[in-house]
Amino acid sequence: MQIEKRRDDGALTVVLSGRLNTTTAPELEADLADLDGVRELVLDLAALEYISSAGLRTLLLLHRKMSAQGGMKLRHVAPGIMEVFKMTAFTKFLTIEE
Amino acid sequence: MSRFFAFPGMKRMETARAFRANPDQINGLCAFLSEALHDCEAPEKYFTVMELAADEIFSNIVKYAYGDVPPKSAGDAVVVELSAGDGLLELRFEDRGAPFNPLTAAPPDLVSGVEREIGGLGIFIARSVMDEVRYSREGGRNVLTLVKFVERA
Repeated sequence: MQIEKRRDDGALTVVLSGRLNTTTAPELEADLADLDGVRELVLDLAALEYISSAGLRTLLLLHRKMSAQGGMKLRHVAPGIMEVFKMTAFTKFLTIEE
Repeated sequence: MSRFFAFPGMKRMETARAFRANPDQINGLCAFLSEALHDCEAPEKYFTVMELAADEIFSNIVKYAYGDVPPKSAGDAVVVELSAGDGLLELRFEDRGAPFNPLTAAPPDLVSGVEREIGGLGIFIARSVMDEVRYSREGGRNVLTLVKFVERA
């Protein structure tokens, strides 16, 4: 999985490409371990092809972390990924934008 | 030519491979499945859900049936078999770990918001995307069977 980050003051945009699964979820967590000063975390998922429960776990952890210091939102979620969010009721608390 | 005929349907096929009971085998498992699904000409729309179900089941098997410490011996393998035909895709997982039925695991919390406990999602996802899920214990082995009914594309 590729992770591209763009920082713009208090906003951090992270573009994910590929698969967020058991192998790559720890990589993402490590890459985003330091969110000091980030008030808004935006995950651009246009190029995310696949997510498993390991990835959902990471999203939940990130969401919790960001709730304490600002907020997190997801953009450009592909239909297949959206299906997984819906079936696991992650849509209840994730902020998902077009 | 193909627009005049119904989509041909899948090739009857069976293929199996053994994977070490370790999470680092997930990518290899998904690649094996992807290739097998191509070979039996399963409709594209089933690829992701089959991979996802396999991923979640395999992750669960290696986590619980063998304990949290990955096994070192070559005998600790999970045999994954894909069968295609008769309008369905069947995935079978067989391992010699401790008796373990993933289907009796506690269901996940889908009611709470962000404060929920995270467990149980993997099996829940596998069950949600497949049509039938069955467990049996046969001759010292855990056998988990997942079935997806396939419509003509």
